[in-house]
Amino acid sequence: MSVPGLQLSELPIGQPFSNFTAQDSTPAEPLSEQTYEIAKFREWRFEVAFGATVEVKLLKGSAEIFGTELPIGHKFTFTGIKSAIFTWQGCALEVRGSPSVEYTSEETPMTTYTNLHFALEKQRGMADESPTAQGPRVMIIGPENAGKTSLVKILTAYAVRQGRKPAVVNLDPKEGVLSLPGTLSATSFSTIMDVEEGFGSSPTSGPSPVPVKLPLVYYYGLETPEGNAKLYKALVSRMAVAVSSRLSEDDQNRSSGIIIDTPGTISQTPAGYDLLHHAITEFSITTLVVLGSERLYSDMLRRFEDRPNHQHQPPPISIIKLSKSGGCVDRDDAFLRASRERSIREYFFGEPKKRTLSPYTMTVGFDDLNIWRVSEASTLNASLLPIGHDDDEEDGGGGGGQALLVQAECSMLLQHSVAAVLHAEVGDEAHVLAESSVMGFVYIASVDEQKRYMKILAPMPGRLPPKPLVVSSFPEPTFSLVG
Amino acid sequence: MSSTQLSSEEIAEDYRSSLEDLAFNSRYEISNLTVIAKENIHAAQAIARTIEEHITKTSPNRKLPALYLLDSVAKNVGTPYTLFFQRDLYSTFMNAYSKVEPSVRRKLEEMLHTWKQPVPNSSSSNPVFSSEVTRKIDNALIKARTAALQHQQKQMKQQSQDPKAYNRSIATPPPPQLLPQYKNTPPPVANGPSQYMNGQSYDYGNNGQGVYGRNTVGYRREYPTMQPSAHSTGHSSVDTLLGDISGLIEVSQKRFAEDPLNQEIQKRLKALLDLKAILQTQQLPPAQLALVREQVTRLANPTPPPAQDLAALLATATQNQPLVVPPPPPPPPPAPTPLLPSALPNLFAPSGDAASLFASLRKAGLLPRPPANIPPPPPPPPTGLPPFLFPIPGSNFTPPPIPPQIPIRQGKLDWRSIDVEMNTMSLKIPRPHLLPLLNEALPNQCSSCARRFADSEAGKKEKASHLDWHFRVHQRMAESVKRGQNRSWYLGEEEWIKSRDDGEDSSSLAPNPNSHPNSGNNAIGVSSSSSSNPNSSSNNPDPKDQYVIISDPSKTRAVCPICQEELKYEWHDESEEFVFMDAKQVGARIYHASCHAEASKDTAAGNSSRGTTPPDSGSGGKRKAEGDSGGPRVKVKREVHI
Repeated sequence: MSVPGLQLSELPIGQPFSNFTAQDSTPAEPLSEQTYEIAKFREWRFEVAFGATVEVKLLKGSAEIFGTELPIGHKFTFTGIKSAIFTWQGCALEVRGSPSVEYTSEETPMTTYTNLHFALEKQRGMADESPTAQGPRVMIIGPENAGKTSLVKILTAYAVRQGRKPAVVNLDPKEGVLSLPGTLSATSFSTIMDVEEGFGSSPTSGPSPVPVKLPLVYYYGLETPEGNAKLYKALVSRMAVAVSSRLSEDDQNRSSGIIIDTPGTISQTPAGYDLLHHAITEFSITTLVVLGSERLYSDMLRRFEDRPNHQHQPPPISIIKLSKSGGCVDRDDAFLRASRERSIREYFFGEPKKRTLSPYTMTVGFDDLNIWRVSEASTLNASLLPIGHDDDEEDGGGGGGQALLVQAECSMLLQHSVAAVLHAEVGDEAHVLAESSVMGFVYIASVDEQKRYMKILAPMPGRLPPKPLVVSSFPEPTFSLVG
Repeated sequence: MSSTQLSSEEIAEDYRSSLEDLAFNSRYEISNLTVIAKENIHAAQAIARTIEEHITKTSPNRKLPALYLLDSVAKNVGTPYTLFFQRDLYSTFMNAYSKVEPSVRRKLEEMLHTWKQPVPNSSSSNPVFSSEVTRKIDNALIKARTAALQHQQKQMKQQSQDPKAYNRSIATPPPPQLLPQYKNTPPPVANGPSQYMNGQSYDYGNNGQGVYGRNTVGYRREYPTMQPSAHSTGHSSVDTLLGDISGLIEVSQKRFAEDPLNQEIQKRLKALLDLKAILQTQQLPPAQLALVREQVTRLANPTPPPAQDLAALLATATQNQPLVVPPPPPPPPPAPTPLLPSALPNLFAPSGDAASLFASLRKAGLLPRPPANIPPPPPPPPTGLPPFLFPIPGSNFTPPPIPPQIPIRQGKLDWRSIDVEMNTMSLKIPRPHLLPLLNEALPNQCSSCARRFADSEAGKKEKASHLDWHFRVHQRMAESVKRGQNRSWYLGEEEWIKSRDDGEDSSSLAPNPNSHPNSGNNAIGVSSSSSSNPNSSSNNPDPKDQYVIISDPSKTRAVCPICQEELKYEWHDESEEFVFMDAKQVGARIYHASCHAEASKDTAAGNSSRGTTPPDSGSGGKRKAEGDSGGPRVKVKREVHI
């Protein structure tokens, strides 16, 4: 793989990669092959470590991964994943390679999940009838590793299967949807998801065997919403407006409604509840699904049950309690970190063996760059502020309270970070920039403070667009991307 | 149109002329007209009358938008409009109903359903219109469907007796109990496809909007397959009976949906379902059949619908517009329709044992199963039945394929039949009868990606274009190996809001981000020629450099609607596609980019009156004509909840 760029061509770009592919190519041939017969209504759960690969082929019957059906005879390759294949009718799977964990479970919450889908479908049908009615807007909340994202996938996949076009909103910066971690995004789904990739991948210049989805991405740059609550709220509000506009423009989107994934941490602290409340209001949530937490459920009941008395008269919210799937597994930090690293790598270089992308390296002088950093001193800041100067108060203007973005110096600190390129103009004010959507990402490969330039890896050839960049601490700098 | 000083007549006159423009189901026009109605509430009576008159007078294909307007005014403005509408709602609705296409009828039925419920988001729990009015309409509709079904069944019978009688049966007057006007109305089925088509093209030929075309075609094709399924004469009485039972089941289901706690309805529903299973699996001696029939008749009796009104209505309909009148509402083929007592021939003498039979059926109904809409795939054998009446055969209990009772059209289920409520308890109840909706209802599966399609004409078409898409992608994948590929930039807010089909449909259009050469998923993509250069992703590309990718080789010629000159079709090196140069796609139309830029400049300079372009472009890809490259950078509006 040669990089048409500068000196980077001599850097072993494929190196971290080959690290990773090396392991799966060595035991490539003597992969163990096994056939599993899965009885109906059961789920085959499996985990594949990073560095290992497992190929799964559906031989007969029907099977789905988080709601998305697998075609018969097609080989799917998984790596670094914890997933499950469910069957309504029974199926036979051919599995090559050895998953690190693998078992079949009889107990699944699929009945409830499917019922939830049908209940939503009913509301969508209702919304179809009147040009002014709104489709269901459902938000999934719950502690970490409760299966929120999986449920979102299932609901989305079923809706798509039935010809719907839901808008899927990810408010969890920990994992990106069609984007990098550290971002919030909204996507209208009308086509099948890529089961190997989670939700799929964002568009490239080439063709894609699975229809691409176009996400609307906002950069948050921190791991938890509490990191900069003000920025988080601003982005949520902004996205809610954009999504609502989209829904009002497209009838199918309107009646299909919204499915929202949320971060696990948000459901655990009072500050989180506040953010949650904000998001629920902004998106005019109609159904709140609480996954795997009795306490959260009762807290939510308390918070929203007496809502009709509220002066704005928001539509009533149905609050649903669902139990966590037995298949949910904790993903440790190492796993999540590896996932993040992979998604960054795949953003620039594509998925191994599926699609090879060629990013470009370029040298940019410090003076040509306009770099900002997400302000991150939430707790620190609050304690430094005079008493009574509460930054929870939304004074919108960006005047008081915590700053959203601050101008960043070009320095070694930026090295190995991923920076977001904003759909904004240099010279825009900080609060405008903070709410701007993301155009893409660049990777700061190296910084030369003496000569005042940095080497940047950009997804596309040509000059770097003269747009403001934002950096932050999450996802953490990766060293493995280019040398 | 703020004309408070005008008299009601003048306002009504203004309103009437605005109504004339309401040709499509345009949300903007409707909400606009609703606002006007709200502003001129002092002239409510006149406006309400205008709307009603318009609905009555306008051509059938404009009735639906007009009724949607009525719906919108009633829901958004409320009283006094609801009171005015309510007075003549029955005749307004039924008159329109009798004249429109079956597909539109379904829309009307759906609308009617919402009238029985409180206005969404309102604090009042009263229905939009009083239940007296809506019930009256309901009854009339049931009656109409019954008649249609009966007619159809009669034909099926005749046909099975003598295939050659097929054509004659059209002319045969329906039996005496049938509504008389069907002599004049084209029968739903036997008329033959050609005439049906004629009627259709008459209807829609004028505005060129094949909006409902797809549905109707799907219907028409399905009928022939229904007919051969008519059984031999010996079975036909069982079939009729089954039809009746299905009808009753549907009625009960509806009642059950309205009043899920009513034990009586629950019992009846279960009994009916079991009875149906028995009839389908067993040969009953004629005597028992007669008993069952009698019982079914009695069951159906309590709700005799008003017969005369509809008869009169339909009769007038036939007189007024003999050409346009579509066949009497043929029930959607998979959906069984209620068949009411009058439909049952009084051939079988009532027997004294009927009551006891029903009692036993009721008992049978008390199976510990949640009320199901259809028996789950392997239906539980009706073990609770008294053995002396219906001996159960051995374990080989495989019922014949029955039409799914949850009406499915083009893979979309009818939401009304979904019995899941949005609460924790309801979600926990297993509902095996709904599962087929996810899978079997869409049997036509793509072998490469497992995407499902409905088993209908439309579904087949969709699948065909889907396979084309696979093919194209495959081809491009092979080609693209040689070329380097890049990740594209994400869309900006405004582009994202306007982007339509992130899918693959060849009929859809997606405005690609400037720097995002068509990624092979859209047959037609719009991009500026400066695609691969991110630097020029600024807002104003030279119109001369804009192009529209044309991947459908049959569409190599197009005329710019503005200057009436042909667009230039040529190979575009950069995108490696055939394109129209200096072109811009707006909705389904392709303009010269330069012409369009000129034109939109002009309109932008003009006043900001409401867009005159109807947002509907027949192709299903709904893009608004506004918001070109020259527009403001971000136009995000905050949604207002009423």
